[in-house]
Amino acid sequence: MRDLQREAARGPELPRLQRTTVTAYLLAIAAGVLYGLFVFNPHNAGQTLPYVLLVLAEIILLGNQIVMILTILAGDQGSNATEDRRVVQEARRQLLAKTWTPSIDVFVPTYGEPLEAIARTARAARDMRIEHRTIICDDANDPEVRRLAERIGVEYLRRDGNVGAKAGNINNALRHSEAEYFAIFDADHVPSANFLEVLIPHFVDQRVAFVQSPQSYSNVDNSPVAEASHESQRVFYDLICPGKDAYNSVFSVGTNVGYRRLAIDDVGGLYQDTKSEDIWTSIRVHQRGWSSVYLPTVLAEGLAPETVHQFLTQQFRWSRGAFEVLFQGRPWRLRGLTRDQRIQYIQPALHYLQSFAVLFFMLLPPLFLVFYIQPLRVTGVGWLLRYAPFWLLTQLAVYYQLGRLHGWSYAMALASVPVHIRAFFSALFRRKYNWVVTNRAGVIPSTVSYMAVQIGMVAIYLTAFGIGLIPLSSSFPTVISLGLCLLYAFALFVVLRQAFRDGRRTPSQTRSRTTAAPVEA
Amino acid sequence: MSTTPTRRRAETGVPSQTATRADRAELAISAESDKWASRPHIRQRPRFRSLLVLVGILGLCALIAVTQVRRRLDNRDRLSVSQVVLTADPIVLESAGNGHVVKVDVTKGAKVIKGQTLATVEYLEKPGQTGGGQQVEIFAPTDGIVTEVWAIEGLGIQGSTDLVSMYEPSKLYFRAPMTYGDIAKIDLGSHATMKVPGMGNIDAVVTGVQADFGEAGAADTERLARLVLKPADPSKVLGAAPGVIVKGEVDKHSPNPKDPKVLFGNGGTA
Repeated sequence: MRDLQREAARGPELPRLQRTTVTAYLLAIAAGVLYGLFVFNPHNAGQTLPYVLLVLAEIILLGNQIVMILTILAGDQGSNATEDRRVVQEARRQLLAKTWTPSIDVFVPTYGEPLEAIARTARAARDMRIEHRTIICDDANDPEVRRLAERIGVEYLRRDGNVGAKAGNINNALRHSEAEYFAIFDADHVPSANFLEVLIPHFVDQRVAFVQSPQSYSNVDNSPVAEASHESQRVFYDLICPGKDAYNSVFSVGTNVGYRRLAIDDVGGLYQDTKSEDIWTSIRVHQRGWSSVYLPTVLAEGLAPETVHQFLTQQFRWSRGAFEVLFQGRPWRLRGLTRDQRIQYIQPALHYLQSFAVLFFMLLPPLFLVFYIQPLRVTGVGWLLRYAPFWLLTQLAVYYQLGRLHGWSYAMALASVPVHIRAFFSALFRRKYNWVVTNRAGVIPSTVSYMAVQIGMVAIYLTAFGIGLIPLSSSFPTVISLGLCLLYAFALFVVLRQAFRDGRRTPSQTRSRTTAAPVEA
Repeated sequence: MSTTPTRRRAETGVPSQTATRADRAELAISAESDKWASRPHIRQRPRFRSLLVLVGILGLCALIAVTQVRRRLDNRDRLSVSQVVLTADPIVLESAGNGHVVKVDVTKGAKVIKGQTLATVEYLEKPGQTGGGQQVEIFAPTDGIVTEVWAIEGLGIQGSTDLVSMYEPSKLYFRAPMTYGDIAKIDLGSHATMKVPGMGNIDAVVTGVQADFGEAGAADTERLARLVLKPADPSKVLGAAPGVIVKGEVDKHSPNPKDPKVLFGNGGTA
């Protein structure tokens, strides 16, 4: 448990990268460039089509890694949050002394989440220090939620219809609000009492449109899936977001965030034409020249997805949002953004595009074992000697920074690959999809339905492994491929086993969805 | 479903600034939560589309497994080879002394017979001599095809200047790039079958191995060898162009059990 009050008193503390970590990152970039030179040398090409696909996959992977590392290193150079710390602290002092009394509204948008979760969040929002109004914005029009609001003493707001989904819900609330600032908490993100006193002082800079604080999960011990989700979120919030902040391009994740009303009015309200209203609104705000602040201080604790189905549903939403920004937003040509901001808005999609590359690499071992398809005309050792330093240094740097590497995170990332690819095509062809509240009506999803591809992949690995044991020509690549087949099959099997176990649990044994839509890295 | 207020606070980690009010609210809420938990559970059936995808993948796996395993068991004693080049050792005709080319009788690609004049050169005894030297005809040493003509009329020559290159079609052979690991499994005299486009299957016999320090560079340590396979009936490849790339299969074992392996010891050639 972090000492939130102590952190609030001294202001936000940005994590500093140690020199060993920075060195590991710089060496990783160097190793990445060397590996790129090796792969992109046509002299090493094997069969043409696999080689072309390999080059594309490596471009995606290396591009994403380099952007990510540069972002992380930029985060170490300081951010919007630290520049005017003295001014912010003075504002906080005035806020606590009540010599500055801004009007603040706190919205808790709901859409069929369990009452227990809504109640916990609304109560914590109500109990935050610094004077404010707390309003449950109920899009499900649920009389039980209304009674709940009355019972715990917060305001209740509903509207006719669900136009614009969550963004429409908040925009409707804004029509009933006169406050200078407003904060949003999804129904499963419980704010700490000092949320406002830590966050609001950052608006002392008149250019600041919104201040985002990280998501942190309190149910990490409940399930390995929740733990995996937490770990991947740590990479995003502890490493990536400070870097994005340095480029003034951190985006709102839709919860645990405070907005300046003036800035949102300036862009015509929260952007409604998408289910990823948070990132789209952030783009518009940045286009208008406003700035954003990322506070690396945990000020609210939420619930991570605990079941594989919840995790994959969340991954679909996030990746779909990132791809929508890429295809429909076309960040590279958006006016009003700096070059760095454009790259940072491309980065989330680049992150999820990695799944295409990962799929290609996941298919290579079975393709080699069964059909002897080789994208490079080199030995396994030759390739390994060049790739291993790059991969190891990247992992080492992450390990230095986060203190651990998490096996379940890798397994869940592999299991998410088909989901990201589906999201890619879903966004590309602008297919409509419904905002599904997991387990809303006590529905237990069919594991075979949402894990069909992953089950098929395990079958592919086992088949390839069996065939590979009767090699027409055995060599080091055969041994590596056999090992990789087993490794991938094991990782997917572990996730599958968890998914089937989830299926045997009743919804009351699982938690609700997480509603925020950030893009992890 | 309903936990005690104390336990729930511990879960959320939120400081309890207003514990009394919160506890009261929470007790009221737990009743609502139980209501939610007691809603009926609907277990979804697998979607038809998902089942179709799964059955498709499993079916494909089964099909590939059956065909591949059968093929591999059939070929346990054979090795598949690809990127096999049909080639021949070049015969390069050189000058024997100083002088110049007087006449060139062939062009690149010409079919020549043994003893046919390819070029005429005049060897001069002294430097600067303009005539009166000894004219010598360069003959084709064997039937063959001219692959390169460097000689041009009037071209000054010295000892060992390349004049004409040719090859002997009856001595075409196959060169199969292979790892040392695979080559070590093969006997000298093993039978092989090469699929030459337009000519069908050509039988061949393993006759040796060549080292290849060529283009691949140091990284390509496993492919620094080429198996040499000679057509069992050279007349069957007479019409083939050198350089054609083919695939094929090589038996690991020679019909004669006394034949040694192509490679033995630590990479030595047989």
